Amino acid sequence: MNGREGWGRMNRAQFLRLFGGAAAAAAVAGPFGFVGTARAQAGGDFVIGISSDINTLDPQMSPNDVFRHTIRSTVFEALVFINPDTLQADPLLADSWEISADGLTVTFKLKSGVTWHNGAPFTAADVVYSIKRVQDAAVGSPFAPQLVAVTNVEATDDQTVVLTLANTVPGILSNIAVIQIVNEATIGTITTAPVGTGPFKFVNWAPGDHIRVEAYAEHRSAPKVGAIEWRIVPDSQARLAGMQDGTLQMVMLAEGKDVVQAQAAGIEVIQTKPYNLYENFNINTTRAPFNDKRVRQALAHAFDRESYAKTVWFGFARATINPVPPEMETYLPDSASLYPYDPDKATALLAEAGFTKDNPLKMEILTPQGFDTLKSMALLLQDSLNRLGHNVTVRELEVTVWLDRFLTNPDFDITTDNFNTGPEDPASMFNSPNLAPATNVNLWNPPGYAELVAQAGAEIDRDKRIALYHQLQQLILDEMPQITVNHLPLFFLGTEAAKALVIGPSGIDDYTKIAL
Amino acid sequence: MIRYLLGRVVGGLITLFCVTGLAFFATALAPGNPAAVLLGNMATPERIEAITRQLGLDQPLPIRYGIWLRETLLGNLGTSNVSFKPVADLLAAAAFPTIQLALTSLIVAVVIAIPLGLVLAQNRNRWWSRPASSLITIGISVPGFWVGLMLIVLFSVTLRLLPSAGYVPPTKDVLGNIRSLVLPVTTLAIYLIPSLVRFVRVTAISVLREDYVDTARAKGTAPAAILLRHVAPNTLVTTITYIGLQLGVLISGAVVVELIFSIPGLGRLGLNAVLNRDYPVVQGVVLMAATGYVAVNLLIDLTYALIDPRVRAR
Amino acid sequence: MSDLATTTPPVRRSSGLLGFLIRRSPLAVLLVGIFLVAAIFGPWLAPHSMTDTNLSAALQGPSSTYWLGTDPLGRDVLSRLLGSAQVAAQAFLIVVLIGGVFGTALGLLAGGLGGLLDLVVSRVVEVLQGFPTILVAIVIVALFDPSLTNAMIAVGLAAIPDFARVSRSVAIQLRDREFIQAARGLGAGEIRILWSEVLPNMIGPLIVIASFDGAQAVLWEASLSFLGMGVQPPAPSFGSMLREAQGYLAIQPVFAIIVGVAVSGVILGLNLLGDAISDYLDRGGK
Repeated sequence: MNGREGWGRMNRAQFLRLFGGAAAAAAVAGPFGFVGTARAQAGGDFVIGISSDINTLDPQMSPNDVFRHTIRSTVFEALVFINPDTLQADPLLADSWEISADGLTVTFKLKSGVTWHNGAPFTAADVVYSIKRVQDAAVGSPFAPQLVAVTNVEATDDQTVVLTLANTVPGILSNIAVIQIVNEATIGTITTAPVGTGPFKFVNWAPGDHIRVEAYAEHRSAPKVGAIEWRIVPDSQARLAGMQDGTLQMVMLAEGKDVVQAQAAGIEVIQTKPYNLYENFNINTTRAPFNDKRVRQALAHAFDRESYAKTVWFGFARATINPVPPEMETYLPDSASLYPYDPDKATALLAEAGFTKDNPLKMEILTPQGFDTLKSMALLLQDSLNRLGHNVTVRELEVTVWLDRFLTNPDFDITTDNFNTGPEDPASMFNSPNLAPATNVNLWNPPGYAELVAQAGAEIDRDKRIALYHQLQQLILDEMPQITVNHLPLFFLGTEAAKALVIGPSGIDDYTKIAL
Repeated sequence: MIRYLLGRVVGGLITLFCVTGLAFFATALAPGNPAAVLLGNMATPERIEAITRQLGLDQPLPIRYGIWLRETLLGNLGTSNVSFKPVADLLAAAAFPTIQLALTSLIVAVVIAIPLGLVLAQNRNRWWSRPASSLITIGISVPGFWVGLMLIVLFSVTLRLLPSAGYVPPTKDVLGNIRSLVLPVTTLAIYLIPSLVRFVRVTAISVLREDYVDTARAKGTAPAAILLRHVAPNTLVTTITYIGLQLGVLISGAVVVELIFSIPGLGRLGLNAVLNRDYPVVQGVVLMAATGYVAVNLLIDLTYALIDPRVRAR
Repeated sequence: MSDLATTTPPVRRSSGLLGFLIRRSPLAVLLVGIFLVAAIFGPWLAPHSMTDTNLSAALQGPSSTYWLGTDPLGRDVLSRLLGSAQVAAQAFLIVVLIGGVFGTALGLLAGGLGGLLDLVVSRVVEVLQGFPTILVAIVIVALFDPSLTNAMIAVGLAAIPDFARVSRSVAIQLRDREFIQAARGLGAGEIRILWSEVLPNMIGPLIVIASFDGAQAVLWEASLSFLGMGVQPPAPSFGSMLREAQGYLAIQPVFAIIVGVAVSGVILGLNLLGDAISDYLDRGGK
């Protein structure tokens, strides 16, 4: 999530949902003139400013947690790591793997000699336990959808794990890359003293203040810094000041205005690929009149996403109506510019649906506290529709209350939201909480949609797969269950040292290369 | 006297009981479900129910309150719904920074404000008295988060003298601890001083108009001596009450300062807990704040009783 | 200050008050005057709409079209400041009314009558004060709806103890004084004595508290808006504007300075006016 301004951990709390945590961002560049404080350097500490706290230390839970990558990327490891340059899987806990000819069996050979931070050896049984734990409905892991196709997991020996799939899953390695492996023996203390296999050992979490991990010297690629401390600095100007006076070596997830100000202050800014995140309006498609697609289409025409990208995001955002970025091979050509800002078209569509100046559309836009750009989105849509004679209100809600009204007991017309596009896997997009057929936040699932998503996800033939995804995009662009507004990179501010951070596309980052 | 104090202690306990009870029911009734916070978008009715049961939130409110009350009396404040740390540990960790911040700010404010208020009262008819009072008033007219930010911009970013954020415990580095507190304490003191100065000044002026001051003046006592011997002690009595009254302001001000300067104190802990519906932590913070409040006011009553014989006589 | 005037007893030569204030604290009269005009006539004075966005004119400095520039969504800063003044005036009124009426009544009765009543009231006041304002505000806003009134009711509740404690301590100090004894000797009832003898004697301290807490109300409105509680968008308020301006400090410092000066000016004016009024009362209206 790219919001800023927060008050402790409340804000940002939910975004970046299912897939990779927020983290992803590009390497951080740039000479950054200021010398760190004595304190930061003495212990070899790498101090990172984050705007809000994490929710839990359990790497398989962390729902809605913008900064969950902190623990997931350092204390724990998955079987594979998705390399941001090649987008292929690199070995991590798995040394090698083999996918059977029918695509229904995946065999992982594990690295030998790996130990948990408490000294116990890591074995295939841990992997089996971890995968079953994610699948366990009683645990309620948000990563469970990544493993829906996995019908069986077993350890054939201490170093071998075999996954059986119900159907072919072209992106199975991307899915496996976000499943962190946990230790069964210490599962009881996972929320207070997590034990992992990663390059850093957990040291301390002072809720609301900081999270600290220290280098695990026995790790096969031991980190170069002594420790990483994520410090919670809720105020964006205070984070900028922290970069300038050397208190912080890196700031994660900056908003457009912070990026502009950092640049003015001589702080280098690095960004990920321009489509790691999208902002959107989610619509309650079961509630009248939003069950009428003409109303939804009208809303899409009523929002000036070009001006929004240019002004509120200072040009850092790329306006689009299609959540699938043009960089993906499955992208429907020329679809980004569909539904241009056109108040007359919006008026006409609303009139068709029965809403005119005399019978105005009444609607409430929810927006979660602490996300300034989302609030701007809500205000701009409100202003645009009210000028057409409609009656739109905006309600800024405390995040827990917003979660309640949006997700838990849906009671909303439309809400602002943002979403991490995750690994570049076309299937993920349509299985995300925004669009997954079985259950999605727009409460939208027209007949045939589920079959189409399943068919596209299992299709091995490239051309056929692309055709199926084109069909899916045409469907959502016509039905408009949600209004996508833009694609965004994730922004990091940092020192020279911070450049070495490797940001994985699936929300798992590699901190071992950073040296002070 | 002893009976009076005993009454105050019992009263304080009743206050604690009421405050924590109110806090319990108010936060529990507020919308927002901690299970939803834990589960987020993976929430399904079954999972929410499971977590709700796990957290003991499926019980009727009065029973939950009874359990909390019993456990608290037994010295068990429970564990956080979010971090699963014992509430007592969280409170212990957060209390010290807050107490250090609040106490230091209060001392700084009192040390500056009382002489200032007395001098302004004594010289209330001089030409510079009014502009000086107005100048001091600016301190209470600018929002604390704004003052803090300006201090950061000036001293951390521009002059590079002091750290912009973070708290260094004195056990780790005494000098670092002092450095990390200069800006927060300044911010909070700037906020506390004006109202204190004003109160001291107003009180001192009314004392200066008392008959015995006139008498002293008529006897030829020097103005400075009158100020020290007659005005200061009498002003102090009311000012002490006022300082006790400032405690709430102090705590609320500390919340904002803690947020701006990233100090891991009670204010931040409490605010985050409320926003997460982390009920055990909310209760712990309220209990702690209320206990501190009751204790300090008890002390003030005691001081008051010692200074003012009219109260002692009761 | 119409609201302060309501808590002020009829002063014999009230016509002299304004003259005294202008002589004593012209800055206060000027600032509060501007504030009152803005609060009362703001909607008519505003050159532009308070809510109309215009992204092509975002974050501009002062110009002939936008006298005080525009905000990040291209809304006119002057118009929004005028709207904020109205919101601040409402905040002031709610807080001083709730705190002043309930707090003074409680403190007066408790201090004047003593006994069991004092014990009960002291407890109630302590309960109120032992409760951090921020928590009260969050709970009230969560239970009902985020709105200015709800947030300010919380701040008003928090102001009750201020009034109560001051009026109580003054009442305790006064109740055994000669003139009270004399009134008692003449057969006046306790309540009557409190009303006619004790209350007028505590107006000074109460006004100090009222001006202080009222100005605090404006400050609280700013802090609560900073936390997202209070006025709902797109309505303007000092707090939300200040928070917005702060985020763009290095991009459009003029925005931050204008809003900062406006907010501080209003609060400073209220504080100084409170001082001046208390001076006026101290001199017995001379």
